[in-house]
Amino acid sequence: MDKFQPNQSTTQSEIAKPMEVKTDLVTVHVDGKAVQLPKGENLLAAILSKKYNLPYFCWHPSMGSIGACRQCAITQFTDETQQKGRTIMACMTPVVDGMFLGLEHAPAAEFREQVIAAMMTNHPHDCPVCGEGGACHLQDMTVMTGHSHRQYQGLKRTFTNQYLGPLVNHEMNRCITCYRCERFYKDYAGGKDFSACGSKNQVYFGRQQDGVLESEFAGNLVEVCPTGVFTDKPFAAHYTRKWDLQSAPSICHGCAVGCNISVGERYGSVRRVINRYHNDINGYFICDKGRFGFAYVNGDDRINKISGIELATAFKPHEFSIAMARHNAKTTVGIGSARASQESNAALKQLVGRENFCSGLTELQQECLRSCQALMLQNRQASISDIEQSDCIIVLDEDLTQTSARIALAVRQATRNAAFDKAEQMGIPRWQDDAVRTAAQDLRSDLYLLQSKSCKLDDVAAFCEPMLPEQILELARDISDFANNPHPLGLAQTRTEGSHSESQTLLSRIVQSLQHAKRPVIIAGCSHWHLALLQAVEKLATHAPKNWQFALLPDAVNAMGLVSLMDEHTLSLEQLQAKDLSSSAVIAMENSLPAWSSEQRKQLAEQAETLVVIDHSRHQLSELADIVLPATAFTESDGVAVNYQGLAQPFFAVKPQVKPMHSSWQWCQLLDDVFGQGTLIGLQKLSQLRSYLTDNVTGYPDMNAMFAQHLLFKSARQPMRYSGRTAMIANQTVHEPKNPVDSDSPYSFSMEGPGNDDGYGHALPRSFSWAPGWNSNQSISKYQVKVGGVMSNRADMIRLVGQSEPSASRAQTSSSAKRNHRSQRILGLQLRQLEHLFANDEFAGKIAEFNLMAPPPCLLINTDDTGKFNQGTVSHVRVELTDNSSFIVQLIPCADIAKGVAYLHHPRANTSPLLDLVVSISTVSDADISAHQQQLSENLEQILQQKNRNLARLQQTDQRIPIQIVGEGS
Amino acid sequence: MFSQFRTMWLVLKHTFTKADTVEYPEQKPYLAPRYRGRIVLTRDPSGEERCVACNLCAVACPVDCIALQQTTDPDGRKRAEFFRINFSRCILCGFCEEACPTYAIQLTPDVELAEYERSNLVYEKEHLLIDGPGKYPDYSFYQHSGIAIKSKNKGEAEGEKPPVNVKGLMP
Repeated sequence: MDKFQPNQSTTQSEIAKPMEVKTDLVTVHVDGKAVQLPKGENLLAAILSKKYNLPYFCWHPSMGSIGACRQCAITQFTDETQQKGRTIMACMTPVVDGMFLGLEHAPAAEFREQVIAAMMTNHPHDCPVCGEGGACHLQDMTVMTGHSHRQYQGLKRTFTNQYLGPLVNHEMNRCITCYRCERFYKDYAGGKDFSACGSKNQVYFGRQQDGVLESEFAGNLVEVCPTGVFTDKPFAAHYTRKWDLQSAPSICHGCAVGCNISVGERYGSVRRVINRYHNDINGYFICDKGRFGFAYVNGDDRINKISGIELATAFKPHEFSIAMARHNAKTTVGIGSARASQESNAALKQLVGRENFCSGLTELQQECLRSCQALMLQNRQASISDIEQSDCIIVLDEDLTQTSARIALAVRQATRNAAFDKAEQMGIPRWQDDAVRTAAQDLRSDLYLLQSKSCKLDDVAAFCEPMLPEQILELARDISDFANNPHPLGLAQTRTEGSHSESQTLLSRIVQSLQHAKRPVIIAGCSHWHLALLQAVEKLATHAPKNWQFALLPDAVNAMGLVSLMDEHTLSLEQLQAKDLSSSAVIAMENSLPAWSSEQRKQLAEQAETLVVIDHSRHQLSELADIVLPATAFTESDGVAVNYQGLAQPFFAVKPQVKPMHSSWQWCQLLDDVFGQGTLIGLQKLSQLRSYLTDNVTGYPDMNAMFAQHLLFKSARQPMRYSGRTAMIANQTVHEPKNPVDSDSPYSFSMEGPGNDDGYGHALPRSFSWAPGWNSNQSISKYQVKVGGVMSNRADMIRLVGQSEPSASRAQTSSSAKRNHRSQRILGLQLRQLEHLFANDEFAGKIAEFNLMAPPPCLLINTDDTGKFNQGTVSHVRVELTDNSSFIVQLIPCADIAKGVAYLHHPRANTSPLLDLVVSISTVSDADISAHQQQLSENLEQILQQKNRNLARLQQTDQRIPIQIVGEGS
Repeated sequence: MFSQFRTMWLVLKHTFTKADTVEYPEQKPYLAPRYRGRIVLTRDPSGEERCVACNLCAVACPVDCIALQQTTDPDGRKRAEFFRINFSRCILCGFCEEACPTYAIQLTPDVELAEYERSNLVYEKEHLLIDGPGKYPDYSFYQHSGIAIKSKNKGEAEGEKPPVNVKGLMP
């Protein structure tokens, strides 16, 4: 049965309304002009919201005020004559009715200039070699205050730097002691290994000693720091200025949260990713996987040639069709992918027909994702801002920090809501950061982490004792029962009969918290494909009160989109395996089939008459394929990704395609006259395909409605100061070709176009953030209705909604999935996969920095379980697999893992279902261990070499920018 | 009538005046040292490249004829991986020289930029780089900058105190 009715109403567009904040507006006179400001808000935020320029450093919309930098000084006059007044710090002063304020008042302006002058006494002469230059908040504020000459003749204070890991650079001389880094890292993100030390003029921000920053959000220091103390290290290695970056709005492809990012490109290679503000999703912060995890698009493993068929050098569509016609087969089976865009998946389904469309997922995965979908369709999935406002959170068996890190950051903020409530009772405004923390001390909102292994949220959790997965499931079911019958006495009665075990006390604690909570959120995820648990949550959602919200997190960027394309004919991988493929062509699109072992993949390649792989990076399947077609990565293609909430978010190419690479949907379109039914012929343009899909495919949102009006009047991808246009390709040709034309998106590959602040009512994501006088990312406040609020001009949000099939009617289909539930037991231990943010998908292994930060292959067990391994004397064990191969892992006993559970980490888990393949665990000899350690250090050496090789290659390609000939292929 | 004679007189008078024409190229005009001609990249007093590839010249260029890419050497110095000026586009305005924070890019009095092939007017770093410091013989950027390079550690630049001992107890 179709999840979606085949009409327009199934994918309807909903204009998400900005949250109505009910605050009283009062009249305040700023430089003699009356303005309406929200009462009780801090003056700095209120004034910035009115688009005044007022310099600041330490204040941050997400972190509140502490008044450390003394930069936002303004004059508060005693009366309307505006003669006498006192200097106040705007960020520390609440808005009061009838204030008379002087922004331009000379003493205050001079005070601000002198504060900058004081900072400049020690600021080094580094701007030319500083990675922040051109996007530096300190530069902007210095210009804004008018300070231009350093009059101080004394010596400059200096510091030595620290090594903070492969992702973040440290240059402490540049520090202006605003404390933002420490407040973000420790107070906001809960990091433990970074702090301020010293006093007076010697305050130092760093670690206790050199070492890798442990937090998964360390990369945000780059944006949080108003100057260049913390800079993006991979970006610095292949650096370019912000004004030279061609940028496009995009969606992070690291997980299903769908954080908004802005990608920057120069000379044909993607240089960096920064956060793109979205008030409901990522806000001001993204995780390090999002910031640094794009690097595979520049990697060695990219597929850039067609192989398997003979073509002339220049790509011609009709020659391609002729060449492909030789490989025509009786039927064609298409394997979709949760990491491909919604257009690509829908086009593939159209190409092969619904009977031959395979989701590329196992039955278990399909069922897990259907549970997520059920909540998504009911609109019960909480957004990140919902999670941040929650006062009771239960996390079920998911290590959020390692799978959907941005959610973990939101959960951490939610635990502060009790503190905010208490502060409110005491009359402390929420933005008084230090006062709120002092008042609250350790008071936290309830966070229950029901998990088998400790995680990084433990420090803010009310409960985090490790327990067995079965116990978690049982608790989830009990909570569900409670929701069904919320009478507390009734529950207590049924419970008292049984033994009063620990889990019962825990249950009553949770139940009490849930009863008192106004906005509880229950979070679970797909990292362990624990179907029963997800179904328990789904069941819970059906009869939970309306104020309860949920977040069931799929594993991949467009998993929700893929599920919405699935129907009763859609094949699972098991069904594909059972199918006779001897006269079939199989098209695997952007899917390396990591759910299959390499044997199964080989079997597929042997069985299929022709195996066509469409992908952007090499993997085992692409090596086995008969024909490989190079696809564009997300940085070169336009598309839509549906996040866990069902928001269909568009992402845009940051650089033009280099032929013969095509987007996957373009390949599907090109293959249509050979393998398909001809439905896609003539849909060369994305807008044409989108109209077709909107009309014909259930599960495709109407994206044209979003963009059609913008296609004529495009925004620029390049900033106004984009440099080097007449020189960057002059070594190849002095003739200057026309800029590539982008007919598919509302952005142009040039500086032309009204930009984003055009006043033409463009409701588009911003390709980069810039405002006059504001070169850093903090310019975003100029485009928000109020700082930290919604964008003043944002695009409508399109959400997939519809009717879901209740889980009960899916019971038959899921019975076989249940059998497949991974419950691999070795030595009486339940084997589970250890998630790590830098090693949890197939692309993480292609990024040198991530390989350096990923844990070594290891097996984590409870300290009490060490006895199972040769009386606890071994440091390493050998894991043997069904295919007779084996590998050595380090055995790490930990106290905070549930007894009877073992967590395995090995890079192979990202390309094969490792847990299903494990046969036994045996001991290893000392010689093997030393060989293993030798191998690890060799690997490390290789990673560093590969990093350098990659950089050298990119530097070469900088001088061979692909020149697009006008009119080609469009 | 008078005017015609006057005209002829004026014309013929020029027969005996000194010619304004300069016999270029045999005879070269004097161009002051700060004349804005061909652009060069200079070296600091120690003979290292001055350019730190900060991109300020490129962004200042009104015709966008400078393209470069930064790289960092193992000794910590930043340097241009490639540095290209398209002289067929350059208008010799000198903005790049004004923008340069390290005195690396300088304009010279050589204005003889004529080629039969336009592509020969594309100068790479090897064509731009000269051996000397140009108009500013003493300036070395890294002696004023706070970043450490191999030959100059933290606190060793001009006007710098030695690095703070962060583990010290003194305020």
